[in-house]
Amino acid sequence: MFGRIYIEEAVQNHPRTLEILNRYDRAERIDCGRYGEVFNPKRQSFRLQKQNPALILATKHGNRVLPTPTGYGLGADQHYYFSHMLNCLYDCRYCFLQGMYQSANYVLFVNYEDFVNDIKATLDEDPSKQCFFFSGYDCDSLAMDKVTGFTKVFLPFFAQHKNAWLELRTKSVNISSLLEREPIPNVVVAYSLNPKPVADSLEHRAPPIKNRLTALRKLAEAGWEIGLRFDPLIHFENGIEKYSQFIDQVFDSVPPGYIHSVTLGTFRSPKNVLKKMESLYPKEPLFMGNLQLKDGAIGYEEAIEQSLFSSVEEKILQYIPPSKYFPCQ
Amino acid sequence: MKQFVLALYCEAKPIIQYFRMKPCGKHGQAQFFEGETARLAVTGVGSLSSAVATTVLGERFPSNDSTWLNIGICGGGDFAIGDAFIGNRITSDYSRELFYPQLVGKSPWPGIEIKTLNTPSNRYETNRVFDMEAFGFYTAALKFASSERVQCIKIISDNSESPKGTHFNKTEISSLIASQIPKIESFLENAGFSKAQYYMKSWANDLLTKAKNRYSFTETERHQLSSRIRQLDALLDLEEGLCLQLLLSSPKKGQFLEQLQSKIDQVSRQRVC
Repeated sequence: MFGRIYIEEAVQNHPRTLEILNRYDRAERIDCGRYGEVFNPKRQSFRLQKQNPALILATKHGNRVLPTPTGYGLGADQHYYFSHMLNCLYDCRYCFLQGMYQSANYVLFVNYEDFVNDIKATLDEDPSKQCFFFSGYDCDSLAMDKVTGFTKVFLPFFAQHKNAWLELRTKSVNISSLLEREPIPNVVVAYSLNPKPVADSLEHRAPPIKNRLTALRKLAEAGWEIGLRFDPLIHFENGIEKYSQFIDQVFDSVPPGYIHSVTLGTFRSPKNVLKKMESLYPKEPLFMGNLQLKDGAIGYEEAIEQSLFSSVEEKILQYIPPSKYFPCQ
Repeated sequence: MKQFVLALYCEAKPIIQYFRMKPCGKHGQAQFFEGETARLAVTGVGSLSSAVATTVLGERFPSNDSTWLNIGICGGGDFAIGDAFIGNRITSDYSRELFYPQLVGKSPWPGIEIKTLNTPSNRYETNRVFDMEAFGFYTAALKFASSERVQCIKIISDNSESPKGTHFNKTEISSLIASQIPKIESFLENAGFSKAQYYMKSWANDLLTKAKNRYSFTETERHQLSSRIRQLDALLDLEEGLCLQLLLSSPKKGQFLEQLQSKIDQVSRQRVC
């Protein structure tokens, strides 16, 4: 899977590094001082690298657990995110990761224990509060779980800390690590979903929608808390009608009783990130029409955004109570 | 376009012959050669000479989609004469800076650190090879191409058993380089570089030229014009594109630009999926 693995000096003998190197024993190994030497230099082509990304094994120093931006929450007292990995196996055109980093190589921070300690310290600041921790901001939470062993470490921690919630945000159907164990009531498996035409055109390398819905149903039937993430909504010809049919399809696959939460958001991006995405894919229609700059971010023109958002919102609220619905606008 | 950079004429000779290149100029001690699909610089020995000639080659022939290869002989402790490597880490004995050339496709050569020295040396190490140009070449070539398109390929000409110092047999060196040409050719073909290229179709170029001649645009408007026509070029087929010529009948430039944007808004939502 990886032709090259870069290994940061500090993690050369880390057990997780050794395990991964053992698994990919044919990959070329390259030593580096700090991961930024490989990941950050400017003269790199994200698009070319995305064809065949390398893996960089590194340690994350500080800023491991961060508060989410305002407007991104699921009703807990406090919301945080953390990223054990940078970059994603999938290649979704609308994803901010397309324009975020210089490199498309995967960075895996192997010092999971430091992340866990920081999450614990955050919880200890006020044990009476319910805290939500989002993984899958800079990567897909489950897509590379067989390589990273992420759930093996983090799920047992959350199983023991009932005032902490974990969201695994994913498009992956790689769910065996979840199905093999008892569900954890404070862990939400949240699937990013879009109608088939959008998924087929824009969610490159991600599992087909049909397979994602099958995975969702399996997880729900096994007792896992399910999140539905209709984010980003994409504006396209007859889109409102297609989203309406799609939501029927989703709730047909996963009955509302199994749902922990539903979030909704339209396509938007910081201006500089969108400009970079546009330059990477100059022929991509997604970045071309019906967009406007508002408060430093680019999103759909007001009327289009409102019409798309409110129609999908109305449809969702036919299936779930408002208490489970969290708009991101 | 392939851009080869080599220190010695005897190294370059088999590549010049293979790609049927002809001399196309000089700069100081550097000599340049050009063929239909490749250019080459014979730079002279040393990191600075390599950097200067690479810069001249890049500036004399500007191109966004060139692949730059520094090919040459090197010294390597335990490696056999004729073994070839691709640099996965480029360092030097005179700078703290270092480079990690990125690979797109598969390399036919194993990767290794190339350490560029300022002076010839018979000191060898097991985990790296030594040359006298790669670092200077890499520093200069990165100004013209991204890291994936700049690579160094080195062939062992001396090792701890056969240290050669500064005197080489030119025929042997030519033969070492010639033996790698099939792999070089296949590497360049399979490296996946061509996938990122983008050219505007002729109807779009035509519309752009006519619009610039018809209206007097400000700098900002020119930028908008190019950007919108480029987007329409991606969205429309030939027949639809040719219809846009009708928009040139708009009496005002603002109206023309607005009509282009309306077309983009209309078509992009149809083409997203």
